[in-house]
Amino acid sequence: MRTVFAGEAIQFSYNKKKPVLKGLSLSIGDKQIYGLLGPNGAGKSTLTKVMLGLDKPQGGKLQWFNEHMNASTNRRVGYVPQDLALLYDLSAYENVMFFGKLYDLKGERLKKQVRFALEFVGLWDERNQKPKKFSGGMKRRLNIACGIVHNPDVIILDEPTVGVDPQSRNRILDAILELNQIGTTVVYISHYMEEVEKICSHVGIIDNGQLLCQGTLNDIIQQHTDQAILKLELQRKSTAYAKQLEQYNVLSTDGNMVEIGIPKNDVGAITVIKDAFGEEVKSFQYISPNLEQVFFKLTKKNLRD
Amino acid sequence: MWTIFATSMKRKLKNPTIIVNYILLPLLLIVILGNALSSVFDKDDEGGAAVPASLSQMKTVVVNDDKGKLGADIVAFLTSEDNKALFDVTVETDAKKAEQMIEDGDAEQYIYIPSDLTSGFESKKESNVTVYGEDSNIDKVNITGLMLSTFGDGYLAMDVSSAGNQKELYTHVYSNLLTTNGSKDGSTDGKDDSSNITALSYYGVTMLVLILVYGLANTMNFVQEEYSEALGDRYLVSPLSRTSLILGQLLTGCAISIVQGIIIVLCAQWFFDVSYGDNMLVVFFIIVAGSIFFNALGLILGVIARRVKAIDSVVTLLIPVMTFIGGGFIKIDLGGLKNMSINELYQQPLFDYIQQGVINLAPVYSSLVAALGFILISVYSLTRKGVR
Repeated sequence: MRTVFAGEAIQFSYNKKKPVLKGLSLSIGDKQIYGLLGPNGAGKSTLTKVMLGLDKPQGGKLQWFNEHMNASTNRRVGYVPQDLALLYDLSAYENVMFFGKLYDLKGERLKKQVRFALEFVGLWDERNQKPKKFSGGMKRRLNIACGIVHNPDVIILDEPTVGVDPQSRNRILDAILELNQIGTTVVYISHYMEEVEKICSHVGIIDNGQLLCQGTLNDIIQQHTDQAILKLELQRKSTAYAKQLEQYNVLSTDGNMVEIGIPKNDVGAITVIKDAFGEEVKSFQYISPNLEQVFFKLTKKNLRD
Repeated sequence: MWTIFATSMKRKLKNPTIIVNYILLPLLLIVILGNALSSVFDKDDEGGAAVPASLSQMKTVVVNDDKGKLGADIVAFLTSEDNKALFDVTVETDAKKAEQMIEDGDAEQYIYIPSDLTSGFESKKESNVTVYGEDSNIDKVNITGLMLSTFGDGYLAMDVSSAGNQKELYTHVYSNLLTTNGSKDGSTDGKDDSSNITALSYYGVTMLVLILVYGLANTMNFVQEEYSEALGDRYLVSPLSRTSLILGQLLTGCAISIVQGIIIVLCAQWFFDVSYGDNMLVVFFIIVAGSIFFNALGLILGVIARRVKAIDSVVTLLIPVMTFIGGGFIKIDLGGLKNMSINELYQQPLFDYIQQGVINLAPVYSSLVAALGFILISVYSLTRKGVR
């Protein structure tokens, strides 16, 4: 697969005492939806700024489309910042039009692209309204429209669903999937694990200025998890079964709830444990290995920490 | 660059508060200050509206302590037939009595010739003739000062031509020409309205400069708002060059300042009969240059301190302070302190031109060079990625 972005041993610090990126290497392939995950302060935003050329790395190599960053590569990359970057004095249409012009779009092509971008995010009917009248979700969608108006090969979305209602969130996620289906590579930076699991084909986990792992979602989960979880709801408090639980890998207990680690892909273990508790089991849930476990295992932190 | 310019202008024009803040407010200031303080300039100006000052024969008391030739020549000059229409001279020997005449209203101005004037002139030492008068007679006092300066220049020219190219030691007895008569032919009958300076004319200049200075704050705020947050990141990741971004912003600020300046001048002329001199091209050039300079200064402050919100308050405070020091709100002479006012860079050339017909644009040219430096540093600062 063709690489659209390659970063090798990227180093960056705002002051010499505290490096933010410590020789981080990252590779993003064409037409991927690459989810970049990391706890607060991991270096995600800094990495994004370095990738976009807003911050200059002190070390390492960085290439877009096998070229050093230049005006031509800039034209092929779109950016949707986490904070809304809109012109509130202008209408939605004028906003998108303006950002299209920044990317040298003109005439009919510009109009066509503006229409495409606004229709894509579902704001064509509201095109003459000013964004200050929009809901939070609509502003987010307009923010995205401004980032994709020039039809970039790669779009970097920094927390695009922060602070939006579930309906708008789903709409945004669907739009991102659709964008990818028409050939756009997506770099998706998010705090929401379930979003990354839902839409991303590839994932990179960053912490403490280093990339801890990257690859396809399935590969990462396979490589970095060794057990699934069986969640049992028992008739009595878990302490009542203390002796019986000793023989299992108990991950946590909470009242009547018990989480037991079982070897992944070992479906038989579910039956064995369930049968051992017999009528004492009110309900049970099998939780297959997931990204959250990988994240916790690698960073020892929850994503929202 | 044109995209940034056109869009920025569109955004400004769509905001109705711009009209009030940028255009109406300075006009209002001219009217309020000009009318409220017009009595300071001309005691005949009554009834609210400024009336052009009419210069009649000036009752003048002269005390000549100089026993030398120069003192005598000055008295002879003031009492000559040529100047009888202008000066009604009483020669006194007692300085206190002369001062009393001013206080009693028996004289409108008092000229004091010091004892060391001739000896000082001959020995190449500085010595000044002083003109005293009430504020209400400031026009007349200024004209007398200007005439004595001219007389002194003539004396100096003769001295230099006779003694060779020696160092110039003579200095004008009068430097504050803010409200002197701009008449080219020396007429004092007040028939030519453009030759008379009123309070509104004074504020016509200071408010014009004030509005140009406000270009600094406007551009600085605009750049800060545009570049401190995500919007700035969005600009910077676009393929547009940093130079285009900078020039687009600067052009917006300059265009607004120029329009503001022109509106001020035209409205002041049409509605308040304010004089801006004979050649509007000179005033227009100063407006354009001032717009470039102050907006470039705002640009560099906005770029360098784009994440320092406090600078907005500092600049907002400094502008009226600078204007005050420069005599913008109240006609006040703070001596050397006045030079600390950035407004002076443009006020003085305007006054020089409007009131004396003297085109002295050296400060304007210097400021344009500085503006070029500001622009280059701004481009460099934006180009230097990673600056926070």
